[in-house]
Amino acid sequence: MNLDQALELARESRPQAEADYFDHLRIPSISALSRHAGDCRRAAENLINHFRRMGIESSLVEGDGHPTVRAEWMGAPGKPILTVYGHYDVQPPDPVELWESPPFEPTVRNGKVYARGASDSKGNHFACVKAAEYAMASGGPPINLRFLFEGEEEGGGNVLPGFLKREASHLDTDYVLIDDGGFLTAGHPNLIVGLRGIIYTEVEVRGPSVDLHSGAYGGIAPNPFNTMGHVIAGLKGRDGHINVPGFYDDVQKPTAEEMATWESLAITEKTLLEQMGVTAIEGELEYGLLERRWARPTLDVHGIRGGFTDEGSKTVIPAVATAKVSMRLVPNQDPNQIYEAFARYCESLATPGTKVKVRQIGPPSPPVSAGVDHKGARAAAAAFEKVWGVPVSYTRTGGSIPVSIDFQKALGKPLVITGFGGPGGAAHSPNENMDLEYFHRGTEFMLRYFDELAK
Amino acid sequence: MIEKALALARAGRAQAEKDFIEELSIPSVSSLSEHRADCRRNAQWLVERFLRMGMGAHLVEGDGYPTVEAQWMGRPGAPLFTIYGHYDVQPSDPLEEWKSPPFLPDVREGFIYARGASDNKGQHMACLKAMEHWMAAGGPPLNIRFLIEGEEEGGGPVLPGLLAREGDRLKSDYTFIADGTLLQLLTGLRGVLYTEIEVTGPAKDLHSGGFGGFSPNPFNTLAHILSALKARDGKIGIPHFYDAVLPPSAEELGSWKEFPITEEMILRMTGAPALEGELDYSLPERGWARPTLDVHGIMGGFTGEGTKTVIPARATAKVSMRLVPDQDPQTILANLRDFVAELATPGTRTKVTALGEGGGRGLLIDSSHAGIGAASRAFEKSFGRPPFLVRAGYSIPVVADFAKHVDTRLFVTGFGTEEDGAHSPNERLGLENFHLGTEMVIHLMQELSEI
Repeated sequence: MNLDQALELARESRPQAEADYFDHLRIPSISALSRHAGDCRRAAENLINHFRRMGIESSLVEGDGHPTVRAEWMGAPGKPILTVYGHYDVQPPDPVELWESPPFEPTVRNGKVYARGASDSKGNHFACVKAAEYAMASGGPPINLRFLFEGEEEGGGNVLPGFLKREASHLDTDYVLIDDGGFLTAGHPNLIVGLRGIIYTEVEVRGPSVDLHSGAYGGIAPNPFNTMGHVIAGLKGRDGHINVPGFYDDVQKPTAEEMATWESLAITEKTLLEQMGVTAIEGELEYGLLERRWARPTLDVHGIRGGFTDEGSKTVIPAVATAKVSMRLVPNQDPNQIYEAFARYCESLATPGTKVKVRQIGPPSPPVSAGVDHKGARAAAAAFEKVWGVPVSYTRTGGSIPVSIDFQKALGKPLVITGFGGPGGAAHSPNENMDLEYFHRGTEFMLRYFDELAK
Repeated sequence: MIEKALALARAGRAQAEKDFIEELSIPSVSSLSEHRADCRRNAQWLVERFLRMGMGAHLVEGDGYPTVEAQWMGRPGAPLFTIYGHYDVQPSDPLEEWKSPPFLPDVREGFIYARGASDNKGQHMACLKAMEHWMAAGGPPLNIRFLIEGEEEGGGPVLPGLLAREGDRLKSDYTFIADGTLLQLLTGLRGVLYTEIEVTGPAKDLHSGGFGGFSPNPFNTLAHILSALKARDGKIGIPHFYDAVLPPSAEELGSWKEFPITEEMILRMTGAPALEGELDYSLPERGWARPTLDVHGIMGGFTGEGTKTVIPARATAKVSMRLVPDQDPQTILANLRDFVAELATPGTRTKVTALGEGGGRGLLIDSSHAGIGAASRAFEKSFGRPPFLVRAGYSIPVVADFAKHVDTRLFVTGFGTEEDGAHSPNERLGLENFHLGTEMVIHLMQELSEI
């Protein structure tokens, strides 16, 4: 591939790239709503058509859900293989009335295209499609390429995870790019080097075998809701410290390099306060804001079921109270060990007249460490720096991307996790958008990334 | 005279049961609008009975079901004795658990089974029959008024309105609240202050992955608040909460020592693995004379099936306190507000709202008046033993209404037991208790007239 020629082609073709991207955005590929199953398939087929037109072999991986698009070009024998992950499904658009333009009619305002999926994640993977197209037209990519674009990211389906597990031995690869991130601050590309994992649980407190009248039994009978207050208060102190024994034993301190780049990020307490609509930030104040956000484990209560919650008053001592409690885990906490310690600790917080029982909801998601010290990451950093003129930031994310675990497990290669959209892309929210300059630079990044990996 | 009344009662047991069954057959469920006509029919049925025995009787109307008012003032100069009861009953569901239909009274092994048998038709019928026998024996030795309301189970405004409006006219020497428990004389009731404690944090729900670790979480903060409101040892942490708590009298404590309630019994009734609360106080003290704090439920956040990783913008707990004499609900509420506000974490705000009319005080029922001795002797003469002096952990609104608006000396007792299943399927009343209850009221009228 002649890089200059490919970059030139990319620049010349911007209007056509936007037209193709907008066509892709017009397809309402909402994976969560069954009436859009046909649209999901249409989006997958649209991608297949693009790959076939540029001369890349492409097919649908079928399963119990929306298909995954698999496209492969192995025309550079002896050169490394790059596997690129993306997803073509999008979130439902509601509340629709808050959109300034219809969610599936891409509309450009101030250089940004507004549409559902613009940043999460059609802009990301469509930049890859375009890069492949320009590489093919400029002598062919300098490395071998495999694209896996799934249709179930927003709902957590099993088609791609199942495929990865089944076909791992046929998916030989050198580098994996998870293209589902985004910029945290304007003009500063980032590589996500760590993801928090999660354990989601229900903590049940049982007291009396039936609901009791609080007038007749108050002061004598155990009350599971009062005990639940003690259990939750015992789990995490007011200082944000989690009291589960051994909880922090395996928490890895972020590297000095990471911490240094976090300091350079223009994320301030003020911007977060505004974003959250709160008056003060909480948590472990002895740690930096971003360290707490990305590299410290947490414990949050999401809701408590049971008792009387209608309007008015009912004087009941409920027989049972059940709290939803989740923990975000960081490298190298082991979800199974943490869960065991958590469950035992919860049980120990029971009052004499109650029993506490814990169960896990869904499989745990372990924390992911992508690392910065491997060729995939170094090449991405170099490519980004050439496109944006600034060094890349090494960041983490507080959430989890379950598919990255599947890739790590199946392919056993270090991951590069990043994305191309600017801050304020409003993923999952009304008026989702993508700055078109960022979209085009995403394409340019991919061409340079191919080039760097080939070196 | 009293011998004649007692003889009539003993001879008239079969007829009394027939009358009792007749009233039990009327499905006077006040909370269900399809029974509106039945409630009125029951009220009229009572008026008929009072008129037939020679009393004056009429319906007091209001915005709801009428109260039956009946009186006999044939003893000028003698004391006036008022008897309270209610003719409305609880709904009968779950219907499938009844062994005989709730409004087809059935006698089995000495018990009569029907909705309302003990709560409250059996109790006011015993009083009504006692009056009937006295009238047939030449008239009771004192003046009598009945007030039988139709809104007790739902908390309607008709009788409370009447008491508030015509408290002066309704003034009487003694009032028997015939809605209590057999051989138990109430000397106090706890009041209640029911609140909602709201904790707000972020302006909107946040993703716990993106914001967990530095965003305030109203649910975690609420747990700290609840945990501080009442400690594991049952002590309530609100400042000055116990300041105004009056200890029970020596007489009460003495009676409570003999009161046949054990930890095993309560464990069996509640199904709890152990009892909690202030273990340094006895069970009756904890249940009757010590204030409490209970959480009833928590609103907000995600409680559906599965997982949602949300940091909710708000969490609201329903929290009530049972208050005892002389705690003042307004003072407690103000202290609670301040305490909760102090317990907020830096990123949260709190709001405490009192539901209802801002709470009711605990009540002491004067047990030193001569009517108590009369009731005690009447129980001894009918049931063969004096009643226990007890309190109730819950509030009985009508008692508070009488205490507030009517100049009278109260006593609260009755003829049903805790095993009779008021509000439950297969509600019942022991027929022997019904008949002895009738005799008790005959004696009571005599005893009160002799004071």
